[in-house]
Amino acid sequence: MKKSFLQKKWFKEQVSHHEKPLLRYCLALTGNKEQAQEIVQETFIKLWSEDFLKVQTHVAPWLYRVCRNSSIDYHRRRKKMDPFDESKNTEVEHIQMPEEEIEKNEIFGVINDFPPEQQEIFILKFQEGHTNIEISEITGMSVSNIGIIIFRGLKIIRDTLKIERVV
Amino acid sequence: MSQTYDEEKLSKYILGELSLSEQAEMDEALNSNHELKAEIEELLSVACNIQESFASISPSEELCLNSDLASELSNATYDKPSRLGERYNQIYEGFRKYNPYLPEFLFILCSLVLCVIDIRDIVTSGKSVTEFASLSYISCALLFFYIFLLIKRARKEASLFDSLLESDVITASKSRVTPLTLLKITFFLVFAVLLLML
Repeated sequence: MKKSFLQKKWFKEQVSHHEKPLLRYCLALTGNKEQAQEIVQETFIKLWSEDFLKVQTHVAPWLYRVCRNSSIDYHRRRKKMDPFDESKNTEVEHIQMPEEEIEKNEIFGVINDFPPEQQEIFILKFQEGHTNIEISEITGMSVSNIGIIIFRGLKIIRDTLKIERVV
Repeated sequence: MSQTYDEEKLSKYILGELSLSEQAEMDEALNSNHELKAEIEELLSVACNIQESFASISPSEELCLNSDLASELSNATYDKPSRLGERYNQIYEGFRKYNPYLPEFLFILCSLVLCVIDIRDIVTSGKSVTEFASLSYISCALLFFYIFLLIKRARKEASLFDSLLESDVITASKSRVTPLTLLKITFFLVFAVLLLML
């Protein structure tokens, strides 16, 4: 479908608005800058080929979901090529928190010890600012499950920081 | 109220995702439970700290796409397609040379033929209807379900390629051989062989 002037303008706005957050999220999922760039680029190409009317009401969760699925595919392909890769067999196998930040901030140190799914939810919630409903749309988990995971994570962070301060 | 429900609602309260009426209800409940209120206040401050910590990381300037993607796609025409579609172009061109669904369909065809032979033997031997629960019927049903999944996958791929073609991101359109066309051809061959068998 040929895009109208308004549609092109809307697309440009989406790219400039979501480019950096998507790259940051993808980098956390893949741990590889070039791969993250490629995934985000393909995500925008897929958005371009979509009917904008269908996606414009939920474009952010749509973009994050496509990026997430591509990142999971990337890990699957990498695992096939490296049979000695012993990473856990979960959907999101790996989240990479920025190392300098882990050293600087004790909160990131605690989040870094969370399971990958919980880390991803914390990133989507507190870094990207998504609502629980949007996170549910992106990850495929139920909204109530996401609420529980966040609540338990907050408790763990609070307890760990308390212990560290006492020590 | 179950423990699970409590945690979900408390989480929403901390993150400010409750409706006004629910929030007022929760405020009331917390006012009558000072221990829980103190805990929620602690968790609220933890949530604020996390938010501040994440906000303090500014996205790196180096972290950006290699090209002005929006302009590349907007300015693409059929004669001058976007170079971003090159990878898709290669896959699409590859479809004309090699049908990616053929091995799967050959496998299904062989299995279906074996099932049909088996079912024909049952029918011609005049056995009772109870034989309908035989393994061949179940295999046949599973194979048809597999075909259904395959069609769904091909349709999804075909729609992506078609929309990329229409928006001039790729140009491998001259033959108009889409994944769906290939699927239809293979399907036709499968049924032709089946009809001949019967």
